[in-house]
Amino acid sequence: MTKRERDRISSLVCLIIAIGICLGSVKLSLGGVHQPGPGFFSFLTGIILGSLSLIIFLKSFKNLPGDERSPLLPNQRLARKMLYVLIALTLYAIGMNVLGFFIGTLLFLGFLLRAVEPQRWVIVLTCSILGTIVFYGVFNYWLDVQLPAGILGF
Amino acid sequence: MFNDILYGFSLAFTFQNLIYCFLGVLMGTLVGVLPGLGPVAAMSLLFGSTLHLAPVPGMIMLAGIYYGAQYGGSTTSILLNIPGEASSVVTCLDGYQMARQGRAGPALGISACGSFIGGTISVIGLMLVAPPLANFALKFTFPENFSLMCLGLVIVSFLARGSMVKAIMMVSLGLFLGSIGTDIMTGIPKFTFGIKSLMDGVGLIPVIMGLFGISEVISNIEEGIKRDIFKTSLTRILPNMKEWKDSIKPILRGTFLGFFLGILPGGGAVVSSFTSYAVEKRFSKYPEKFGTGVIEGVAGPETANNSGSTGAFVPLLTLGIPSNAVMALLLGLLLTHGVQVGPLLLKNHSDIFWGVVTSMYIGNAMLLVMNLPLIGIWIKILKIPYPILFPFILLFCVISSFSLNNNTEDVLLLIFFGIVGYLMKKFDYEGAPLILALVLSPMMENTLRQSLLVSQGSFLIFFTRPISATLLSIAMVLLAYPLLPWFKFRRKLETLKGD
Repeated sequence: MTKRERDRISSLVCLIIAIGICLGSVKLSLGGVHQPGPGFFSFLTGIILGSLSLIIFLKSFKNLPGDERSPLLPNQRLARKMLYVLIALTLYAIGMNVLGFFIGTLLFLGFLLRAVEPQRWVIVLTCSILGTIVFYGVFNYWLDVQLPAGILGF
Repeated sequence: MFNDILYGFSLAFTFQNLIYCFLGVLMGTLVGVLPGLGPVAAMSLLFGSTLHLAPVPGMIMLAGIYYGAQYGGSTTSILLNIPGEASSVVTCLDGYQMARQGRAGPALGISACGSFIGGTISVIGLMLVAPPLANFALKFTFPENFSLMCLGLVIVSFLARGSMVKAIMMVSLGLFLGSIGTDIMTGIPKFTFGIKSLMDGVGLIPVIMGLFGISEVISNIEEGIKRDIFKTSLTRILPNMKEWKDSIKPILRGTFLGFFLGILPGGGAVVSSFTSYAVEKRFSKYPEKFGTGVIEGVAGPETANNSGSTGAFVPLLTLGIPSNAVMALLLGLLLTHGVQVGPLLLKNHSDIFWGVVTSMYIGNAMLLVMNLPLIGIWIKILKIPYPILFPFILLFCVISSFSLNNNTEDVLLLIFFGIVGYLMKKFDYEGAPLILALVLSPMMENTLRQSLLVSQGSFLIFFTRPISATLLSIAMVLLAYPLLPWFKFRRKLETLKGD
């Protein structure tokens, strides 16, 4: 994808966001300049964002010398690794309250160490068990953070 | 002022504050050494934990991370040709070449000594500049504050690496994100979409950690960091007389340049180090040798980035306006503790100002000890493979976000901003202007609405008051600056047509 194509896509997305912001702000009530309403400030930000997105969008149709094509996403193997990270993060966030900190963190660390850039099982087990214990100690005892106990109670 | 300094030292030398100062600079050096984890990410990781502390030790620790990272960043630049963080990018040019010639020791030594000199002299500058500036800022009311924040955001966009238009787009997006939450004047929820944790506004930590922490990890996995430490002997760390003679002027120039550039919004360590390199090249008798292992190319920028990181404290501690993302975090910490930031901070919370400033002296001394004799330990840490390190960085991000309100909504917000940050990098948008705007947004909205209430709806209030008008004029000149080449081009075209 060339820089111009990337600019065209990103400015279009920003333009849609800006329109959404402006519509939402109007719904909230703009008030008047004498007494600005709750939507006044966000409406201004939407107008600025929208106008500048339009500039970038229009500029993206101009020819750029030396605008070479480069892939937007990495190859399939690396994209899969990135996807693993995002899936692991989301599942950990959702499942932490059910599984509890201990089991959730063990699985999270173990999965990332084994699935993304596969490590030996000894390293996976040592790092995930030690990591979970150290994090629990630091956050629970030193920083007084209430970590989720989960359905098993720990 | 002498009494104030003594008072500051009496605070900084308490056992608790010494410990937090040590922890801060230790963490700072560590994140500076480890590529892919900058000071912003590290500070946001520990932000949650500082909320349990009083503001003075919390600030001391977070500030320590910031200037500690400037020390540590040079190690990876010199030994690996990979900058630990953005402000050490130029150090790679000559530092790595010095290491290749077997002079890694003096390169590391001069960067630590230069950082120490720059760090300590600029603290004196901070002590001298801050009180009169805070006194002047007492004249500021709503319109002046609004105009000052506008100028700050314009300067940040002006200094952004890529397109200025894109940087202003990020500013407006940040301002919008900052306006999300319950309206202060009417109590109406704005753009919360029924999400409970958005009622108090978009949390700074999930956004910063997402944009800088998670997205960095995803990008690193995509690129696949390959580290290969240059094998060189580290028998001599301290520079010899000739090296000192060559470096002393760049160190002094770097100190002053760094400090004054650090004060500018959007300035700080990164701009300071780049400018210092350019200045040293211009002053040099042999500019053509720069990039081949010249010690001046390491001494100047490494001093300037430390000095610049101290200079960046001036607008925060005197005007209550952060000049970069790191300062935005420190402002966030003060606001969370209910500390009224602005020109009155020096008067009403002198413990924060003098305690933090004097702790920087102690921190700089600790860093010198940590970075010279203990350099071998940092090199060992560099050998931890990234595939083992990154799950722990992610875990830290998740737990720190979770611990803010003990809910998973903040963690989902973190993941969302992680993806947004990754895409922003892909499409050439910078995160720093967005963060700064996010922090300033509630203050800007309030000052704008209050100003319009006072002026009964007239925008002229911003142009009829001298200070406000001056600030806005500077902002407008900066905004118009990128158009200048276009005007010149048109004039040239018209002349050609006429011919």
